Amino acid sequence: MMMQSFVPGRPAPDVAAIRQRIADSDISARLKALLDELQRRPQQRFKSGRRKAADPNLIHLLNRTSFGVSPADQALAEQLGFEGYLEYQLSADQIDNTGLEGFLADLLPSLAMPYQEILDRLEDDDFSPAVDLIVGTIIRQLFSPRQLFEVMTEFWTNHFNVFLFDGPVQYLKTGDDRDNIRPHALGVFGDLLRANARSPAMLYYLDNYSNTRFGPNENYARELLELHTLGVDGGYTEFDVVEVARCFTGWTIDPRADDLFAFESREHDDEAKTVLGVELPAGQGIGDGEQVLELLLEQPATADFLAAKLCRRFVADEPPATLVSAVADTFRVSGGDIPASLRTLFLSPEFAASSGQKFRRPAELVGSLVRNLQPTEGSDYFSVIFRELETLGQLPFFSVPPTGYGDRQSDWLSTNSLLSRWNIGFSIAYGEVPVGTRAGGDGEGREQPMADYFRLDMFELLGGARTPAEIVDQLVDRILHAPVGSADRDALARLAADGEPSSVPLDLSQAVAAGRSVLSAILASRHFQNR
Amino acid sequence: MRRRQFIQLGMLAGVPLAGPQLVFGRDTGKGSATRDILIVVFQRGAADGLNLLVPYNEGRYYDLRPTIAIAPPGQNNGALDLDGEFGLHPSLASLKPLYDQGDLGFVHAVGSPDDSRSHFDAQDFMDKGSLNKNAVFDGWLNRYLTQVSGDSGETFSAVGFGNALPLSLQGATPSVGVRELSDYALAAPAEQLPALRESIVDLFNRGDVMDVVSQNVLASVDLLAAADPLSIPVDGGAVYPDTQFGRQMSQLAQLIKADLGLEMAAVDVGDWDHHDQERDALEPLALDYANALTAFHTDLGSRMDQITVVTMTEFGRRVAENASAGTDHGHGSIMLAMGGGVNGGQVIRDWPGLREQDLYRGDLQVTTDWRTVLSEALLARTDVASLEPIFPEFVGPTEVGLFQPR
Repeated sequence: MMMQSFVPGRPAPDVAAIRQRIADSDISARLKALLDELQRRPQQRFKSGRRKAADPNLIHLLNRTSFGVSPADQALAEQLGFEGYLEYQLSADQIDNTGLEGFLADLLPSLAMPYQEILDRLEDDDFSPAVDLIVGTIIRQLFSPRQLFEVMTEFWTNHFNVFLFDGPVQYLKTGDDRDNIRPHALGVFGDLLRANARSPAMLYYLDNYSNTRFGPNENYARELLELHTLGVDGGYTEFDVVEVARCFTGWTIDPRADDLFAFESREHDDEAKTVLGVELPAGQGIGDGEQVLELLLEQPATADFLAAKLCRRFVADEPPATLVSAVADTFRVSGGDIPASLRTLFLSPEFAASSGQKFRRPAELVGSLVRNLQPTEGSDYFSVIFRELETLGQLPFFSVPPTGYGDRQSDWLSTNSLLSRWNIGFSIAYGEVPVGTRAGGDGEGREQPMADYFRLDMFELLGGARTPAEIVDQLVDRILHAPVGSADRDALARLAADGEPSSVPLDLSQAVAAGRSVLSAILASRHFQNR
Repeated sequence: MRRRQFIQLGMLAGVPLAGPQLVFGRDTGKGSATRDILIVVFQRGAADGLNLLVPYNEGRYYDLRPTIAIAPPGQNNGALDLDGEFGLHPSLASLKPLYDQGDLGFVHAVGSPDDSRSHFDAQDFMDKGSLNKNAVFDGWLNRYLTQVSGDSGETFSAVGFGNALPLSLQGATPSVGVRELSDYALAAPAEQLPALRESIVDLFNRGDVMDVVSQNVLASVDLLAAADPLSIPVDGGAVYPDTQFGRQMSQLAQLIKADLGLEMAAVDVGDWDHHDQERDALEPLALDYANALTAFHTDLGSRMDQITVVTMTEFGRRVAENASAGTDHGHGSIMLAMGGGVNGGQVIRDWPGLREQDLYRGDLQVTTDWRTVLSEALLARTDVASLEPIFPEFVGPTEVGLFQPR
């Protein structure tokens, strides 16, 4: 059954339309109310002279297991300790999240709608489950207390990437995210893989919905081997791709089924097949595909491939082979248990030694700005978050190819991207710099200063710091949570002092001005680009 | 200012590079005296050479593609005949005059000798110019850049379009990455900028990749502000499509006209992976591709004598269409070359045929190595000294007849 036959040919919204939709909504105002509730800080923690040096191992763990270190998470981690905080985040369903999820259920009702209800409402004015999903995902990444869970949700979303605006995927991804990815993000890999093979979003995106014995389509079969399990060097052949495609003939989308999945036995190639040297007898029906998934889950190459990918995400672009091997061992022995594999990874000496070695992808850069700085929300706070993710090129579900977003510095670093990253920091720190011209180049909002969107309380950020040296130490501690070395500290102090001695107190307006400059330079620096 | 000098200055912490504007510029005129500007367009996703450049005399083409084949010339929505055997997809019509005047030509049944049908693997090979994935990590264009311009090159010697730098340009010699020229400026308040730039120079002082990129951000921002390429008008009445590829080709033309010393550029045009409904999907893409290239040619006018544009893709599509009126991953596809130095007006091919026994696993055979085409382009149109570092495992041939010697 062709998806086109039941999905109306509504054009995919372009990014400018999504941006406008967000700007026209009351998301920012409602988000402000939520954050006032969630982020109410019990006490002023950043008084000059009363700072306790942060534990660098804890900060490293927080940096890698979240979208950005928030003061609240830092306080909690200090209370629980390294292993305690890791276990707390690994048991995500024990973390109270009712405030945020209640807010999202109210703001974005389509997130909870069954497939059939979404399909029934396609013609409704103002109904856009895809925009709801983008908004809901960004809000969860930025504000959920289940940070590692959200990090892993993003990891598996990217692993099983589908482009949100590939035809009807915009109506199918909501269910895929809710039913196939999130329940297993900190579960067992096999459950993710099995759920994904039946996901209508994936069946459409990689064309398996039209893979039949009359006309095989290899797209899903190839990516199942190359991207989802074995990896491109995982030891399969072109012949295996063809045979796996035959095994999945008839796995398709049924618009009448609750989960939209159907196995059409008439379209299934029911002859015998051979996959990775294993003979699958004729007449197994849907059992062919199911057996292929189990076969792939058992392959050592699958454990190796996933371990390497996890280590690349959490440790280094080229992670140490010893660590990859240890994580792969745990993955194999535990039957693909994701928390167990992550425990091996985060408790390893290789992880401990990797601080500062990962380039922040845009999601983590914007996440750090929001979670760490906790700006006082302006009139259109959410729009600027969306714009910056767009400018830097990592909106959720916007990666078009099945590989998803890259995870190496070289995938993200160029003169263009570094310039954009600097400019975001400058506009936040100085406040009056107009924003909007950098997103899509459409000139929208050219006159509006960043402070209208994303307002910082520089006075609060400074705590009691008044001399240039204090201002530097205060902001380095507040933003980076770790010292920057004496040469970089001196450079920042020169900027703050503006030719005066760095030990002489500035008056308040001078201190605020110095704070803005120092904040700009810190946000531009390698210390903030990396984590 | 030359790149090497710039980096050395930047490494001396505290040198007030940030204060006075950089001194730069050289009288480049039209390209370099010794080599063409090389523009490499990569059609990401595996473009269907058989529907873009149609072998309309092959009965098997129509047998195997009952719903998506392009009709022969003369029929409704038919191919545009080039040489009695091959015809252009009708959406590529704007390329026909360039072909007829000899500024544009094709190679068919061209591609990688590697077997992989993985986009990732095949693109990786073509971007790196090497199959040795455990030893070669940089791009072939970067190695070419290193050889011809190296440490003495201009900041703008090489430009890659997109959020990140295309892999073909990644490597030891820095390039400029551009997404959108109108956004390419520092957005701090003017009175704060000098001190802030000084701090940035101080903070990016270790000589690693991020430091080099950082120094090139400052240098490229200054060069652009002075040259103001966006103020340079489109010439010859050229009309670029209002698409990402159209805008990038338009801005590339402006960068060339701004005489910033541009030697090479890498531009991606994506979305060619038509596993389903290929007819509808290919039309707008082909139109965008052709019209952007044509506009670029018109816009640059006589400068095209010193410019070589090559387009490539990682592999072609299966000869037989699939059940979704699309095509799965195949093997041989096409390359296009455009410029004053192109032996245009011909479709160069060692045509393997489409009979069952002619196909390689159901796919069009590759009878010309993609490196042959690029090697000839480099040898004929540039002063490259050695191909060995650029395509390390390649043993030739290095002639295909598509390019005239300079």
